Amino acid sequence: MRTDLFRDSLVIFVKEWREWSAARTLWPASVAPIMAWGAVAPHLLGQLERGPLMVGVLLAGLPLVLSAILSADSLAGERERRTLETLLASRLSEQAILLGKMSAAVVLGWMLLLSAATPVILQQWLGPIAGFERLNIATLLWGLLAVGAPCVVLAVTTGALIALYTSSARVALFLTIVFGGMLVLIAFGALFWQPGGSGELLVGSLTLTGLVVLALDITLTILLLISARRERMIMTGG
Amino acid sequence: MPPPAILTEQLTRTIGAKTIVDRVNLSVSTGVIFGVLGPMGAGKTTLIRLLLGLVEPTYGAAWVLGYNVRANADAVRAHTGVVLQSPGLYENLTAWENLDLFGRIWHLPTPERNERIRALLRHHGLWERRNERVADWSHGMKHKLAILRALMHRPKLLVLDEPTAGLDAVDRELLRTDLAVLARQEGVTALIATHDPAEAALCDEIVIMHKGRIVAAGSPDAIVCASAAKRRVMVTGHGFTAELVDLVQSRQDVTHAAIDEQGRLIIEVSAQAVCAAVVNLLVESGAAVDSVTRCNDDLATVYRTLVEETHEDRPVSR
Repeated sequence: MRTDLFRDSLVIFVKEWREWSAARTLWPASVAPIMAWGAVAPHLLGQLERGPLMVGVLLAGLPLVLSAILSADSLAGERERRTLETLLASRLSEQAILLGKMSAAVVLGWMLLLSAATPVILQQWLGPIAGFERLNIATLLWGLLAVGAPCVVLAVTTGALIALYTSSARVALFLTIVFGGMLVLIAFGALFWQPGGSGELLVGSLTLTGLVVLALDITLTILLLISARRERMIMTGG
Repeated sequence: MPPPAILTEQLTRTIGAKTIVDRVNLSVSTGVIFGVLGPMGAGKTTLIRLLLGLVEPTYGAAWVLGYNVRANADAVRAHTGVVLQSPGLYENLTAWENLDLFGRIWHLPTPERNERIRALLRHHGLWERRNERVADWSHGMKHKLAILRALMHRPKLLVLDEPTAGLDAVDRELLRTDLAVLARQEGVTALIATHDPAEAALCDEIVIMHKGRIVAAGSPDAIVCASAAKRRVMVTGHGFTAELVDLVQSRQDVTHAAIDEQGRLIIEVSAQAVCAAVVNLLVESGAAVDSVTRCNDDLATVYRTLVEETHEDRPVSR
């Protein structure tokens, strides 16, 4: 049974990736602007007091919102295109469908995150960017892994939950964008609220933040898998 | 005698105060092509969803292929091929990729999967277009591919919601032939939901659904014959006055009489044998009768009549 779940999830995972690969506009429309933003953002914001942290939030913001949107669309959009009901009428379990879709969106989100961070890492490796002199590449990578990666899972899970409980793809996408925007604003607020912050990326606080987000990920994923019932997935918002 | 492929008892589905499927009793024999005929909103799609365990019944029970739908919906779906109203294809993928995806979903081993896809595409004339994106195809071709997708795992039950919508005459005929072959040679039972009486007329057995209820059941011929209890005759001649119509209608064995736009007298009688007495009455009343013709009802007419009537009576069981 568990083997079937993973095998079936993998089938859906591959299906999602095949679809995205076949969508000719997806890659130039998402990866290119993210990489461009990754290249210029440190130069624009590096002089500010909280530069490294702020750039981190800004770099992650776009991939997070995009992966949440992709997750919501892969559920609500498929429901509207009437392909989801065909999947649900097959032998696949609701959990296999959801896990396959979510894992595909998570991997894509991680790739987008890496696309945003690569220009910063490369520039930093060639020579410190002004305002980023104290930024250690290893710490940046740890930030990506410990905080960025679970944040992508959080965005994807939330996108899927929103899609599961809303009546149409349009509403789901709108709410997902609002949620993503709020998340970025909250992250900004947290930067300014941090008392006496130096703007440095601290391994300890990154790890702690990562653990909190991971706990949220696990909670939301369990909630999502419990809420996934065929009737709800077909009937919209039911 | 094999158990019925589909059996329902008082199957009911309500949403709020609205009853979508109302106490439906069905018994569909194995290996038949079974039609559910009804207008839009009759409850056909919900009935299909109930039979597949996609939605839960509010009341009643259903067994499909011997499995209780409420308790064992996974087993039902595992042996069923489904084409819903929309083809439900992944438009960015090619025809081959769409079939391959469902072959993987059904856990068909790679050699068998490839062979099956090849055979289905070749037999249905889509082989040459296997590497084209489905998005560029006509609606009819998409529908055809969706049906092939449903056949990938050689299901015991095939459920088709409006299967020939968008298909041209040739493809409709091919589909009907294929369904007949599947039903007879491989013992596959097909459940077809349709609003088209011509399509339903080709099924072995049908039910007519209206407002969630079954209002007629049986073979298409039997439904037409049963409806012919209300036989209509068309009388041509002169001297058909309103008083004469009232006089004819006053007979207990005449259910309805009216003069149509061409001046013909249309009479609905309870039995064909009444016709002679009615014609005698017309002649005795001074009308000149030139001809008397029996109106032959077909399934489309019967269906239209049944749907147009208000059904406050109890649902029909089959």
